[in-house]
Amino acid sequence: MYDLIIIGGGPAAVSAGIYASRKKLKTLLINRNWGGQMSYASLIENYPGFDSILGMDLSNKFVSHLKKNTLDIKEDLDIKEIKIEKKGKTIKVRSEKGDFKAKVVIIATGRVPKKLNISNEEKFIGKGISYCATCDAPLFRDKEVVVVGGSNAGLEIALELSTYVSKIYILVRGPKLKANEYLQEKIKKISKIKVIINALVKEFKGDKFIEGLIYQDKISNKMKEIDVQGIFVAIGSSANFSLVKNVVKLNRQGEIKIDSKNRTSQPNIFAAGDVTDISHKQIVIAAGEGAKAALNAYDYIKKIKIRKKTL
Amino acid sequence: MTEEIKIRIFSTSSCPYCVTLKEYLKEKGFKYEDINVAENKEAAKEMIEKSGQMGVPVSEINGEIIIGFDKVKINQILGIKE
Repeated sequence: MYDLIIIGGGPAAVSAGIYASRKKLKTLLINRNWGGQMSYASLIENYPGFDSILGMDLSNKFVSHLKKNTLDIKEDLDIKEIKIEKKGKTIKVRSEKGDFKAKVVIIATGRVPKKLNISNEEKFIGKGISYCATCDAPLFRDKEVVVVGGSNAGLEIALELSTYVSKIYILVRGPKLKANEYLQEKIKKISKIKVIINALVKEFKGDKFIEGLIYQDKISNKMKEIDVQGIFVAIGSSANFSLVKNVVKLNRQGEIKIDSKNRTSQPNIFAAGDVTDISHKQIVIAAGEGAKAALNAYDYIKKIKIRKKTL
Repeated sequence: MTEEIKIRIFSTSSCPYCVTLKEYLKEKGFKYEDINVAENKEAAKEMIEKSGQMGVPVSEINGEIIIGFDKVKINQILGIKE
């Protein structure tokens, strides 16, 4: 039986792990992979202490820091279910490799990228459609590509691609780019990037690989086609809530509702980072929330121990 | 047995799954040829032709193509028991 099980591998989970270990809680951290969204980010320029660092490098630093602490870690493990047992006193985490039990669980499962949900999207994943520009950008050298999405993520992808590809169309659903001014200024200076607004992606074209894309101009309602060999999707993300959807309360966006002490609707389940309903999803915020969740979990565990002794 | 196995990994330097895959092989004591398709255009072409994939990582183990970090398949081919 553990004091605490932390689920996740991103900044919130790692930071929770470090703090829990330093509080001498008997801790297990379980994840499918390390770094979460951070590991897919290209350059991170807003994490204090690092003026400019690759997402993957920052992620590696987080993990090696965590591993200097005393806690059990199960990597590369899928969790099947989270169950509340013994009238809410114990949480059972069922995985593909056995069950683990703890007094308290911290959910820090982050967010997953949204898909466009176009009928033949699945067929072309890895065949022109990519969700990881930082991985696959070099394979699109001298090709023409589309980036779907005009938020910060979309523009960052376009900037990353611009060193390799010959032409980039940024397709935006709304009437303007949502990205911050800093990024908008940057892309304006690159002549091979063209922004198309009011564009709804309708269909992918191609045989074995992507050859083009059809979108609807929302103003004229006309269908338009562009010939491209690559499509990078950056239309945002949704909270990775599937594990706890029947266990704790979520908001309408599927984010776990928490209070200022990272408590969910279930007393011994805490949550931290991008999976929760906190405002602004940032690495530095997630790391702070992870630390906060671990310290609050520690206070909670201490209280149960005192209560047991006095009974 | 290990020395007869030929493993080639097509990857890019900034891809998290590529790093995970290579670390996994190292941990299990397998040697591999590391091919950076970001720098080597010919290798990128070879990878796309052989795998039908425009995404990394792709591994070639004794002529067999594995797409992504498919641990189950890699374990099966290399006889890794966890």
